[in-house]
Formats: sequence, structure tokens, C-alpha cells
Amino acid sequence: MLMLPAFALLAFFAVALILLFQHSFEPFAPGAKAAPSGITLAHYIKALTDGLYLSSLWLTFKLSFYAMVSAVFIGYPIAYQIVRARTAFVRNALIMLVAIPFMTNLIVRLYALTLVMSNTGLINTMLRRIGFMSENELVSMLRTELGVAIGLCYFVLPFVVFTLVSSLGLLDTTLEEAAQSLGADRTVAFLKVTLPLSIPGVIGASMLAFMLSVSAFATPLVLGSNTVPMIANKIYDQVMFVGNKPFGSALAVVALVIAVTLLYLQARTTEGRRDA
Amino acid sequence: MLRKRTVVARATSAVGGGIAALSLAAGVLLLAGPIALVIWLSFGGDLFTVVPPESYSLRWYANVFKTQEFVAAFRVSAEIAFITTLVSLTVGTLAAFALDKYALPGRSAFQAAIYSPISIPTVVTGIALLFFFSRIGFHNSFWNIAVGHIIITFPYVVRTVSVALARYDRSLDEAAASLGAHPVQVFWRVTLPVIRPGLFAGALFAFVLSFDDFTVSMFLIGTNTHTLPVAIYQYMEFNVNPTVSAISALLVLMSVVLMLGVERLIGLNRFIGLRG
Repeated sequence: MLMLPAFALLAFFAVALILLFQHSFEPFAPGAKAAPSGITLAHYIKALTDGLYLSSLWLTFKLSFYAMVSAVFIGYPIAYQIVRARTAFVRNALIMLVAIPFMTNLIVRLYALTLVMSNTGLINTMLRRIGFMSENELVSMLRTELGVAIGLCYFVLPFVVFTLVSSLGLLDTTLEEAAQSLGADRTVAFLKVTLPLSIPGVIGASMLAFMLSVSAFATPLVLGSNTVPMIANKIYDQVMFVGNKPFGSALAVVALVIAVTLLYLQARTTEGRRDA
Repeated sequence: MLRKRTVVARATSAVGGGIAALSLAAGVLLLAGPIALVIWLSFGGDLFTVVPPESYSLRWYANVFKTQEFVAAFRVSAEIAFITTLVSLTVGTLAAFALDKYALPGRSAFQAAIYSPISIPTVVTGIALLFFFSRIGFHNSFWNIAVGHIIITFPYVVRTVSVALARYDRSLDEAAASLGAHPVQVFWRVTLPVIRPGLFAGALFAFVLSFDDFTVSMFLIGTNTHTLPVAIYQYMEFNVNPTVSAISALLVLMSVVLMLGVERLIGLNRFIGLRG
């Protein structure tokens, strides 16, 4: 009884997904009035053999990997400082530092990032002012893979920090103190005690960062325009601009399969952790 | 021998501390930098966005309220977010109660089904809903987007309310019942006040995710119905004046106010999961 409204929504959503699946097997007939009959695997074959789409998939995985590594590397010290903050003021300030971007509209944050990275933006202006490069030199970041990777890192960073905070928060601080009282300095105590214990949290945060990046749409759209199209942008273009609904659907099903596989891997790793 | 070890330990300590400090600085810069920059540039008085501004004024703030597409889109986004919050909170809370109260057979399968809309890439959700609404011939963008937002937000309510219910002491219900309270009274006067933080957190997630959603909206917008993130994106594609900076600064202010509310109502530690 209490479940009914939730079930209604899920059933509705399931029908929409089945429709998407069905579309992905339809032949593409531009301009046809009625939906063409028959089923075909042509769209899947194109999605998985055409160099244009394979390179987009490869780009998606590559940039997601960069974003994952950099976000965990940058996010870990912040999470560590939040958990170990000596005063409530420092802790709250750090939480706010992460939470305010987290709660702010992504388009707004990406726009702010374009102001940092554009040819007339903060970084280029500063490099010219300090005499690092001349007036007519510039560092291109927008519409490059580097720029999109930085954007993805920026997008997933708050998620990474919060995931790491909840796992670091569970660690017993007395272990690190014990190591220090036995003569290890802070760095050694961290490397030999805290870091190994926090590996499961790092894995969880990494997988979340990777999953969020793989299905990113707004970040490559705003920072990469058409020059750095990730898989979500290819899907959008097929459906909204090219008008090839069946092929767009097949690409969407491929993206869905990737997402579900990653989710399954994540569930498997957390399960293994529980058994250990 | 002992001296050599001390030197090595000191060097590791210095390098370790240096790396930690550097990446912490990078994190703070990445999180605060772009937002600080956009706020600064929003006060620029020039016709174009220049770093640093050559003059300062509030004219672009005035321009935000004079730009009809922003005013209209803000209204649409606020209305949709409000409807989404109300419906998701109701549907999600009911489902969380059902999951908590009854040991249904296959409960974990139900949970997996309920959380599935969160794990599906938003591009896939957007395209599936687009096809579904066009198949059934329902072309009211406002309600299409609202339904989309309810589907992607109610699982978060289920999660936050479930967490609150898992901590809830059932003997409180029994105590109230033994004192003669009707089950409905028990719910409104005992259970609900105790799980209130979970409800607040769920409502907050539903509102923010709906208000900030870009991807699902991009598939479902109509010619006259734009949400705020979509309107901002379209404006910044064609304009280089600081109006977008001004509206960005206003939205950052909204996040700050929201987070101060969170601190009051739920507490920052609970918000990020440091403490149960």
C-alpha cells in the first residue's frame, strides 16, 4: 500500500526505458511518417565499430580516469583535514568550502571555470601580467581535453571529499596515536597506518568519481563545446540535432550498460570489503 | 646508523608534509577560486567581461532582473522544484516506511529497484522520457520536466528517511500506543518529529537536485518553457557581458543561505555523514 506511489513511478520509468530499448532496434528511416517495421542490429554495430564513436568512448574513459585520479589526490587532504580538524570552526569552514560549490548550480560553476580558463580569462591574464608569456601568447584550455578533465575533476571533487570523510571518520584515531607514541613521526604514521586503513574508502570514492564522470553531459558541453564530445554529448546530438532516434537510442543503451557494469563492480567491491 | 635514520625520517616527513600542503592548497584553490572570481567579476562595469574589471557597477545585477528569459525561467524552475519536493517527499517517505516496517520477501530487490533511477545516467533518463512523452502525445514541458525530476529525486528521500528510521527506536511507538494513542496520532506526534532531520535532508536534496538539473531538462524543454540552468546556458552561448556572472553570484548566495539553514536544522556533521 505505502509502496504504491513509488511503484507507479518506477513502472512508468521502466516503460520509458523499454521504449528506448525498442527504438534502438528500429531501422532508421528519415522523413518516414510511420515508424518503420522490422528489427535491426545495425545501430549497435555502428556504435561499436565506427571510429567516431569508439574514439568518443575512449575519450570518455580517459578523461574520467584523469578526473578520478586528480580528484582523489586533491580531495584526500581536504577530507583528512575535515575529519581531524582541531576546532569546530576549522571543520565547519572546510565543510562549507566543499558544500557551497556542491549546492551551487553546475552550469554556474562551469561558467565560473570558463572565466578562469578562457583565452582572456584569469590564468592567461595572470601569466601575461607576471611576464611569464608575451601579450600575443596564450594557453588554450577551453575546448581542449585538459580543460574538460579539469572541469570533470572540479565537478566530482565535492562527491569525492564527502565519500572520503564518511570513511575516514570511521577510522580509529588511537591507532595513529599509538604509532606516533611508539616513535613514528606523523608522515610515517600516516603512510603506514591511516593510509592503508583508508584504502576501501579511497576505492569507493574513486568509483563514484569515475561513474559520475563517465556519464557527464554538462561539463564537456560547456567547457569542450563540440571539440571534446564525450559519450553523453554524442547521444544528445544524435537525438536532438541529427534526428537519428534509433542510433541515439542504441548509444544510450551502450551508456546504460557501461553504467550498470560499473555499478555492479562497485557493489562487488563493497561486498568483498564487508566479508573481509 | 641512528643518525642516518633520523635524516631519512626527517626528509620523508618534510616531503610528505610538503605534498600534503600543496595538494590541500590546490584543493582549496579549485573549490573557492572560480566562485570567488565569478563574484568579483559580477561587479564589473564594462560592456564585456574583462579580468580585472576596469570599472565597477551594479548594472549587471539590474540587468538580471530586466532580462525576461531569466525571470520567467527562475519562476518555472522554482515552481517545478517546489512540486518535485512535495511529491518526492511524500512518495519517498511512504516507501521508506514500507521498507522499514514490513519484512517483505525480496526486500533487497525492492531497494535495488527504488534506487535504480539514481544509478542510470541522466542523459539516458532524459532521452527515455522524451520518447515516452512523445509516444503518448503528452507535450506539456512543465509537467514533463516535473515528472522527470520526481523520478530522479524520490530515491534520495527514500534513502535519507530510511537512515533516520533505522535509528528510530520502535519502543517509542509502543509506549505511545500503550498510553492510548491512535496509530495516526503516534505517527504525527511521535515518529515524525523524531525523524524530522531525515525529512529535511530528503526535501533539501529533492529541491536542490530539481532546481539545479540541467541534463533531463535539456531533453524536455519546450519553446516557451525553459528552466533556469538551461536559460543561463543559452544566454552564455550568445552573450559575453557580466550578466551571467551576476546571476551566478546570486545563485551562490542562495547556496550559502541553504547551507546556513542546513547547519541550523540538521547540523553540518550530520549533513556530510560524519556523525549518524
